[in-house]
Amino acid sequence: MKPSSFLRPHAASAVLLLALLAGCGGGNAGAVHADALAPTPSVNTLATAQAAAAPGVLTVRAKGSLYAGVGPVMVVRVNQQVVGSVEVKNTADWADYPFSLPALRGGDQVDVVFTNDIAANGVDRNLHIASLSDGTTVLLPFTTGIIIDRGSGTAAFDGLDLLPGSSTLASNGALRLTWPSGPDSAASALPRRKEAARLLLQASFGPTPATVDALAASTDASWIAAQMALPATSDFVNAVQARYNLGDAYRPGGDQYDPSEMARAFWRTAPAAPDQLRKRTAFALHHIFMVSQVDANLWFHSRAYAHYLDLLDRHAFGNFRTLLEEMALSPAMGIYLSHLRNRKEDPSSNRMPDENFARELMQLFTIGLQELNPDGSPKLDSAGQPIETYRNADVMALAKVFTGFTWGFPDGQMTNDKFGWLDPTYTAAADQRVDLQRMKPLADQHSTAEKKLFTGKPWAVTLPAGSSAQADVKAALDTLFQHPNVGPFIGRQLIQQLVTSQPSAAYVGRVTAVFDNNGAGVRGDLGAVVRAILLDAEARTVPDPTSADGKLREPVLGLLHWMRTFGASSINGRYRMGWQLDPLGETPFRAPSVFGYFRPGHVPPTAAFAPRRATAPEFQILDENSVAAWANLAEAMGAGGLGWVDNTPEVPGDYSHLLRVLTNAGVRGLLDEIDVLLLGGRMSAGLRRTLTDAVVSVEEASTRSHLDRVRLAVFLTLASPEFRIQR
Amino acid sequence: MNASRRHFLRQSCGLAATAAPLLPGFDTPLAMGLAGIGALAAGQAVAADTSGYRALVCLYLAGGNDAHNWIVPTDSASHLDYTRARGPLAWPAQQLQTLSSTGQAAGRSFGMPLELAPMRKWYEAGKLAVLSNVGALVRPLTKAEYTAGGAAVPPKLYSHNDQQSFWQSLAPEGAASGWGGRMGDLLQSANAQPLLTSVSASGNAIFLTGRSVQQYQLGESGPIRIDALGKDRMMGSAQTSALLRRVLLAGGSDPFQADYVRLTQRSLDTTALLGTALANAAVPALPTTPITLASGSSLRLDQEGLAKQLRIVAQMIAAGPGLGMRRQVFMVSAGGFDTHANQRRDQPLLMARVASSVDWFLTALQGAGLLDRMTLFTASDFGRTLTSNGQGSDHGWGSHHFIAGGAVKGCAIYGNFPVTALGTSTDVDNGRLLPTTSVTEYAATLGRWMGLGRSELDTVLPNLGNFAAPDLGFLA
Repeated sequence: MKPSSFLRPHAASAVLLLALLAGCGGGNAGAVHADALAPTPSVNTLATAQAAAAPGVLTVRAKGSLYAGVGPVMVVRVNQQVVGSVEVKNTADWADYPFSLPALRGGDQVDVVFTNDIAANGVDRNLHIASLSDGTTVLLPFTTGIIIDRGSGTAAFDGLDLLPGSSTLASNGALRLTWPSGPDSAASALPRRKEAARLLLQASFGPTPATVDALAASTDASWIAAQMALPATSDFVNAVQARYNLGDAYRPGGDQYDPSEMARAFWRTAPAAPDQLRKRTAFALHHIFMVSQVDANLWFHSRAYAHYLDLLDRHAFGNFRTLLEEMALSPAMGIYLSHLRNRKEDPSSNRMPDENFARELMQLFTIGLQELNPDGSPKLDSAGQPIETYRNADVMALAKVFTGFTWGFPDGQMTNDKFGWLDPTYTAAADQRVDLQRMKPLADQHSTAEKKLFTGKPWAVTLPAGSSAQADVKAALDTLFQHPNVGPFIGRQLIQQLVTSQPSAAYVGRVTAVFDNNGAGVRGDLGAVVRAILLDAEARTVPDPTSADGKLREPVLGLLHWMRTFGASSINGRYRMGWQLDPLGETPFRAPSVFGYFRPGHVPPTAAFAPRRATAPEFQILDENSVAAWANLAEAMGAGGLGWVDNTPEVPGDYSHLLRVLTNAGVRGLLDEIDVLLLGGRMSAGLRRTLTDAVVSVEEASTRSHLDRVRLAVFLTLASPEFRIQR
Repeated sequence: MNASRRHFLRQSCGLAATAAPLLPGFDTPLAMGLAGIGALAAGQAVAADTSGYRALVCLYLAGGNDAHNWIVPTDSASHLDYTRARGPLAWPAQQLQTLSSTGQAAGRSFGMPLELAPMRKWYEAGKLAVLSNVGALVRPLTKAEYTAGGAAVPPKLYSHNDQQSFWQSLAPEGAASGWGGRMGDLLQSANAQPLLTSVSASGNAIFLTGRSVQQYQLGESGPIRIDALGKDRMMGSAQTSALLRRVLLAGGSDPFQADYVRLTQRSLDTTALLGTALANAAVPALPTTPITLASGSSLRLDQEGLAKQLRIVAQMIAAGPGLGMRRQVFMVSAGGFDTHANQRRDQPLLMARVASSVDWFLTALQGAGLLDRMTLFTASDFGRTLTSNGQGSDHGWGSHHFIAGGAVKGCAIYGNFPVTALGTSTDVDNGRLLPTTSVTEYAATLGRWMGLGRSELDTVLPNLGNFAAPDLGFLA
């Protein structure tokens, strides 16, 4: 290599760039983005011998203080060879000085040397360095491992009179560093950590450093098995009960009674709990088997509602048939879809049974409106038309099945004259915990009429006149459970919740096959279904950047992700974040109706989706306001947390892990870790450039401002579409 | 009759509607009418009449409103039928206020519950009309045809989401566009800010989506600003705002990110525009004094979601002409109308919410001199059964709806008000009413007022040709 052959042209290009910068407004090079600088195709006079290694640019962001109108001279050496020299004349803002060189390889020795120090009469010429970058890797001079070797001439490289790395060279000397090599021991683990994080995005409320490491050291299947083995905890009932235990004032009717304890319990337990897969699955089931606290009739019955949420947790990996029955006979569902106290028909007064639950049990909870093939596509009749699963006569017949039920009081306490009004008593002295029991039928209130379901279909069934409520419910639920629609109808929605908005027909078909038979001849094994969904090749393969695979994550999942990854919890237990969350269009447990927060069949009416009739459910609650509200939330989370009490966030995030990573592994390490923890390893090159620019744009060039670097990077990442879209 | 002849007749019928000088609110009706004749003669789409400013506001009652109790027969024979059919859901005669004139058959009289007095006031003032037994239809249908089934029966009756979609788009869930948005497609070119042609104050609704028009969504308190974009320095960097803009608008290559970025761009485009315009719109604040209801309870309009939505719409209407807008379609909504249980307890409050909010809205527009420029109409998933389940009513079909505004020919009930009894020719079962007027005709009447000609209405309302009455006559 002949240094002279490239020294001059490249020093010249640095000067040229400065001139350009000065020309566009005061030499504020900080405003020039790295993507505008990095690929600078500088004059290339290199011998062909160097062509094998791509030529690079080392950009030093610097400023200086002048003495006698002359700025500090900055000489850059790579492996003891001088690659350029420039006088730094900008004093207020940082400016970028590019030095072209054949290539920068891991292990190269880089020196940035200050050669003309002088101080007299209170005027001091110094050199300040904010960062060094080759376009992909950015080093901050105050990072661990970088030193300053003080001295002039060769004394700058003698290993004597050393200081820790700093942004300020106050006397002649060299900032000395070794350019980081490619994959080190941490980096070699990176691909597997990314895979682990990606699964954790689908199967938990978000990756944490510890769970990423644990899963990375294991296999997906064994992690899932271990998660499924964790027992269910009755978080919601426990939370409500803890309030009730404080006394009657905290129970329904008392002035301290507060049904929003449910949301507080959710924020407290969901991000921190070890049984993440169970809780994530239960939250998905909550979307399908919706009971919403928006219904004022549930207001008095917090514990019944809590019991319903716990039930989804408990049966998340159990059998669908069991879940169906628990759900159907839960008093919370009975209140919400009004089959609690549903009376048999009375022709003399034109009274008919309430059809509410019967209709939604079929339309939303089991079979849907159209007969489906196992792959989720609609079956067509001979005229090419979809086939309706049921008619209104079926709704009316099923409504009769769900007559006669009310609260599950101990035997003998419920009578016909009390059927229409008797509610449980919740005072501590009289509390029989009736709200934790299944609903019970009162024989006289149950319709004994014959009930014909699905007349004309292969699964038609007649429930004979005179059957008991228990027998009717069992027969009706058995019939619905065996309906061939259940696998594709429920399976596709679970895939949409966990993995992708538009699963292929083949993916749905594979999940249906597992629903129909878990391999041991059992139908409806939800644990097997969840396992099949997560381990499917379509879930585990990282999608092509242009493909339509993936999903928008609903706001609550984005928020929980931040809380979990950064260990956020309330400092006073209140979780008063509603004013920040309301504009997002989704409040936990307060969906507008039984149709949920958004519809699984929603096709955004835009060019990106409508022509393909592609479903993207979460886009139903995304609009011009909620995207703006999310950006504001991202700012709050990045800055430190949510809520506000005594001039500090009520729900602060803990950035100490990222601070350690930045200190120990530098900017690249920080961005790698953010990529893993927040983006499941899919950070785009563009976002990485922006985040790099952000980290080095923090003016205060010292470790004191590392927290700002981390906050800024987290804020921008959370605000990015890449964070909202799970792929 | 061959197809082209029928087509010609249909156009001729539309021509009458377009060219007739029955559009007094228009600034240049005749010229546009003549232009319409020329376009029709050439078989071309007619350019919409977009002179002046007009706003159409859809008030959506989510869940399926039981309007049997909003407009109640009060003559003794009919009220007895009504009471028999409804059982415990029926309103006693003494809680109803009779309407002075309805235009229905001699001997029939109707009333509204006391809770609806704020709306009845506008009815009596001639600014509010009732459209009776309107619902989802593909074409006129008889009870026998309904029972026989087949393609003439609208799809997925009685299903909430599908009938919400049908009312808004004339197709079940999964429809690509709604008829409010399709009107917007034809009207947006008249607007200086086409982005604001179709505006929702109540979340994403298919009603406002056109084939090209995208709805703009507005919060109850106006557009939300991205705070960080307005800050000079944050987190130790003067570049945070610029970097955030880069992040927000960095479109990915997949459809999800592309659409996310598209929405963000629309948010940025409109926020600055609307911030000033809405601040300058002279619309009074919502009153904070409680309104005492007939039932004894009370409500505060400044705490009512529907009133808040209507206020931001009133601000938009007041700002509309200044923004260079000529035709806008809005949507607001209220929930809780799926009264399977506790109907007697809950319905009075539902009524009072709607009536008080609408009353405030009409009064505010009247005060701003804009009442003639706005037509509000109600819509809902479906009507409900006449029969009771003991505590409430179930999903039905045809229902009664309300139209209010300065151009409404009020103090009248349009359509044939059915006999509210079981076993009639309009009762398909349990008092689910077979609609005698279609949503399509309802929409056509509103669309004509917005300035659309017959051939344009045919593109907005694909089955319009199946119905006899493209103008139900409730708008001047």
